Amino acid sequence: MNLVFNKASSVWLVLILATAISWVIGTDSASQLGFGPETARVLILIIAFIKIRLVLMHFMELNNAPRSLKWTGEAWVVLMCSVLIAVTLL
Amino acid sequence: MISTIGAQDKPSRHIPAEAGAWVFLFGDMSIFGLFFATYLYYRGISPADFTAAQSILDPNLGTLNTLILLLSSWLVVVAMRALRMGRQSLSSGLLIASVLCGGIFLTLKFSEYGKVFELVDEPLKVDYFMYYFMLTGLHSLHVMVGMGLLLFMARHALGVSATSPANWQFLEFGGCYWHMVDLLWIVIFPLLYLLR
Repeated sequence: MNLVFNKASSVWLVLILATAISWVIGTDSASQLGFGPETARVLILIIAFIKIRLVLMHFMELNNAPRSLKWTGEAWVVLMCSVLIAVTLL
Repeated sequence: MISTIGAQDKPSRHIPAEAGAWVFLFGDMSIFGLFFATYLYYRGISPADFTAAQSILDPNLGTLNTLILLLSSWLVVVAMRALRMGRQSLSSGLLIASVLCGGIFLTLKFSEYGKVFELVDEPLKVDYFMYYFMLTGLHSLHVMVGMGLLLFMARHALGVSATSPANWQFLEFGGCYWHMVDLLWIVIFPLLYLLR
């Protein structure tokens, strides 16, 4: 078991990258990238919940939890992300 | 030499902390979820007002705070691994480093509060800032509780029975609580700083 070079650290790098992508979309660059404001909002929320799923599964170790708890986590992410996107698009 | 619970790379399936902890964590996260939905609903009613008020905030500062909390979460992950490997002092040091990250996060957050009160007359009467203070204020309380837990964890990590089942359960709960603090900010950050 390596202390630093392991899957959790790879996940952390993905989280940093996802934060950078959200920052690019969320600052003035969205229109330059060809996104409308609505698309930008949905993309930012989807990226946020991808990050949340990674934290739940890999940092909070739901990946190794009994399946019922793991799937509760998966369902929570999908439900919450769907509700927030729906409210954004109202 | 302490025992090494979960020393293997792929531990068998077990509930991190305990089942009751997850009722609390999902409950807390769901309450925040309701706040997020409420914020988005009212933002949708008057988007121009929210965007105008939001423009006072620096998204780079929000991004920096996100990176600080992500770093602290990773430090907690490494600290738990270090403890599984029997490296108690290192584990405790990493947990203290996480507390410092929390302190930097709060310092930046409170300096931002000062800036808001300096630039906006009666910010609590502005809808955007009412939600801003509610969401970040509640989150900051969670950060403070989390920092307290991390300090206890740092002390427990040095104990002779650091990885006894009861101690390990507490350490896992503390770790999960801190990751939840990070997780909540992962949503608060784009809602308050990035959405337009």
